[in-house]
Parts: sequence; structure tokens; C-alpha cells
Amino acid sequence: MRVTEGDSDAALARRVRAGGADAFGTLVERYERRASLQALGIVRSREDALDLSQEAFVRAFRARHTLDPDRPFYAWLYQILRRLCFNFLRDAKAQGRLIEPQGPDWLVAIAHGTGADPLQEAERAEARRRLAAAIDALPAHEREVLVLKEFEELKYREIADQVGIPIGTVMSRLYSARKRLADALEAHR
Amino acid sequence: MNSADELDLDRAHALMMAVLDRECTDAERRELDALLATRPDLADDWSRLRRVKEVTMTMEIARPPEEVWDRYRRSALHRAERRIAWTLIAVGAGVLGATSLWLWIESWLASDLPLFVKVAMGSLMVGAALLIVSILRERWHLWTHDPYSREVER
Repeated sequence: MRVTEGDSDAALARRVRAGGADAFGTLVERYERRASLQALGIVRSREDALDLSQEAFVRAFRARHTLDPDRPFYAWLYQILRRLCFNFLRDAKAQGRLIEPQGPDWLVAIAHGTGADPLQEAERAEARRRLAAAIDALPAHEREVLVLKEFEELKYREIADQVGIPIGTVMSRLYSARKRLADALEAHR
Repeated sequence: MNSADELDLDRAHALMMAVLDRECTDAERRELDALLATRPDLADDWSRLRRVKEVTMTMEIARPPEEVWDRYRRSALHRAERRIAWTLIAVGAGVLGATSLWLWIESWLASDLPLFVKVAMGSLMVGAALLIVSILRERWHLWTHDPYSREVER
């Protein structure tokens, strides 16, 4: 049976379990962007995020016999990805190796039409620049949750399920992250 | 600060997040309004958090150019294939290595070297084997007791 783009994750997962490389390719295509952007939110370096998310897919394929088609595929993949990203940060720290982050450049302004007051726009741009630097400097576990909420627009329940923590912890990490960001915004006023 | 105050604060922080992210009920919104009306410290906190939310809503993660993804996909599939190839090579090399070692030990035991040389060489090999096993065991322990879930601070 041929794989089509409309196949559900569960149908594809069943084929992947049976060794179907074409079904795996469809899952990679479906989740490559999401996985690499979410990895970027943790490791802050685009090259490393692409590499780690790719490695997550490779490991997922290798561990396909443990894949449960009745459970969400991406949540399973994210657990592998997250483990790789945190291990990467831990190893970099242990080896005293500096990760080369994109700098605040991995966060950009959403493009809007012009027309706003230039002075106000300059102030907003400055606030964004400061906030991007502050997000870049957050502890990884707080940045992870903040990125999933603010930039991936997941609900608390989805974040909790994906990261594997209680909703209360999602909210407290978000509060802590935003408090640090508020302090950073204020420190420069 | 006593534990009741801490509970209040935790509740206030959770309410702030839920309202800020529009994941609250009407009752929770009213509860937060009531709290903010009586606690100027929380009201100040609230206005700072709203400012952060306003700014983050105007930001997004920079997306790589589209052409990256084709290469990405091909590379992911090739990496998966290469992993299988490496596994087969490792298994083949392991079997050949073990066989060669066994043949070498057999010929070494049959050789007419003095006993003390055989004992010294045997001791050297057993020591090296213990060292390798110990390192592998340590690596295995690290791998299976991965502390990644302990948060990694910058």
C-alpha cells in the first residue's frame, strides 16, 4: 500500500514499525520544522538544532519497535529530541565548551505593515531586542516552556503532555521565565 | 512569609499566567481582579508581566529558508541507513576481532616462552581487559542513569 500525505500519524507509525522507510520519510516531512524549531528553543544554535532534530528522527527510526501507534507520534519523538538537547547542553557545560548561540537573532519581529509612529516603532524594536537577549539567557528548562507557549502557541495541557511535567509546573516555569524577562526589560529603562 | 501567604502567592502567579495566556475561566479572571484590587505588589507584578506578553506577541522564531528542508530530509534518511551499516560493520569487526584474539591466545599458550614471560603477558592482558570493562560499565551506567531531567543551567 502506498503512503499518502493524508495518512494519519497512527497509520504511518504502524508502517514505520514494520520497517517502512517511506512512511518514516512522510513523518520526517510532517514534523521536521516543528522539531528543529523546538530544539532551537532549547539549544539556541540553528546548526545544532537542525543536527539534533535530525538525530532524534534517526534514533526514533532505530527504536521504531517501541513506537506505540495509538499514542501521539510527536510526543514520543519530542521525548527523544528533548533528551538529546539537554544532553548536548550538559556535555557542552561539562566540557567547558561554549555553545555558539545565534545570539538573540534566532528571535525576530513578526513582519507588520508600516505606518506606526517611527519613535514608537524604535522603542518597540529596542524592547524586542532586550527581550530576545533575555530569552536567550534564560535557564534552558524555562526557555523550553516559554518557547512552546509563546512561539509554538501550545496550550498548557499540550506542553505538559509533550514535556512530561504537570500543568502546575508548566505555569510556575512560565511565571519564573516571564518574571526574569520583566526584570530584564525594566533594568534597561 | 508563612505557608498560607506562599500558597496565596502561588495561586496568584498561576492565575496571572492563566489570564495572560487566555486559558482561564470567568471565575478565575474575577478571582485575579479581586486579588489585584487588594494587593498593590501583585498589581505591579501583573502590569510588568503584561508588558512582557505584549512584546513577545510581536516576536517569532526565525525560520530557516525552505531549501534547507529538502537537504534535511534526505540527510535524515541517509543517516538512518548509515547507522545500520555501522552496526553491521561493528558486529563483523567484533566477531573477527574475537576470533583473532582466540587464535592468538591459543598459539601463545602453545609457544615455548619462559613461564614468567607468559605470566607477565597474561597479567598485562587481564589488566587491560579489566580496564576496558570498567570504562564500558561506567559509560553504560551514565547512559542508563542520564541526569538530563535535572535541569541544565547555563
